[in-house]
Amino acid sequence: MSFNILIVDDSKTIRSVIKKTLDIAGVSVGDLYEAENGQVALDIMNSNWIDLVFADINMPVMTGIEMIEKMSKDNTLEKTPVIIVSTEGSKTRIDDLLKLGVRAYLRKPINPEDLRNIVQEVMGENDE
Amino acid sequence: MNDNDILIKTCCDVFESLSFMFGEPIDLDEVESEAETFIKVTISYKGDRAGAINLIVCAETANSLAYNILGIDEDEEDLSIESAMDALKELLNTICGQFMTSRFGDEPVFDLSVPETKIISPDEWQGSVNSGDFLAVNIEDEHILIRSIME
Repeated sequence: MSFNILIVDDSKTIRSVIKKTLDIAGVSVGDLYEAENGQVALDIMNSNWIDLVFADINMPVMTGIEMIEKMSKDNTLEKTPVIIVSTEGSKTRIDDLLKLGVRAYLRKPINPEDLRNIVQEVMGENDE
Repeated sequence: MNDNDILIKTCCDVFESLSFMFGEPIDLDEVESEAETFIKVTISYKGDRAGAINLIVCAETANSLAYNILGIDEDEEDLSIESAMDALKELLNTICGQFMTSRFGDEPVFDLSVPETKIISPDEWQGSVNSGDFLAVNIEDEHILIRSIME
């Protein structure tokens, strides 16, 4: 089964790293979309079916947190799983993200095995 | 481990994970480079403690790092200096995030700045080497400088 994936990060480098890691991890990707901030991501999600979102926290125009807050108020987007990819190491901040509805958290630098396990876990949960 | 040991270990670990390039610490008096252009990247943090981390690499090494991070073959595509700088920013952002946790644990909350890049001359590079404030890493026969400044 392949997933339509949206990668949201203002760094083109990190978007490329996530794409490369998805490939190495053997995650089957259908359509792959990229957005440089939360607002562009919402526009993409409103016009395309997205199975899974990878998002950064700090981005210009609209942060990852603001994007998730807007998704949680939207009937069609509230169930779309979001995995945060960040350098954040604070337990308090990570707990806050999970309370907001973030499905999982991946800390940079990401490795293919962790990525594959988290995608399996999140998408498995989503099938239930 | 002291702060310098943590910084060097973090730096080498992140270089290996993100760019698949292996680094090893060297003494400052072993540092040399014939490059004409260098890039200095700076990230700062604030929270329970405040400070900054600087990373200096020559443009050629920045390019190699970017090619490796992006997984692009150097023969297939030319990378812009902006792409190399973006890759360096992400490297330092990751180094800083890992350094903060290794140094202070996962309880404190820190805000990291957006990394900034600046082109510097060989004289400025040499000045940084001579200052003795930096730590040096040999990465595939190119030398890079890194330092942590804590307030």
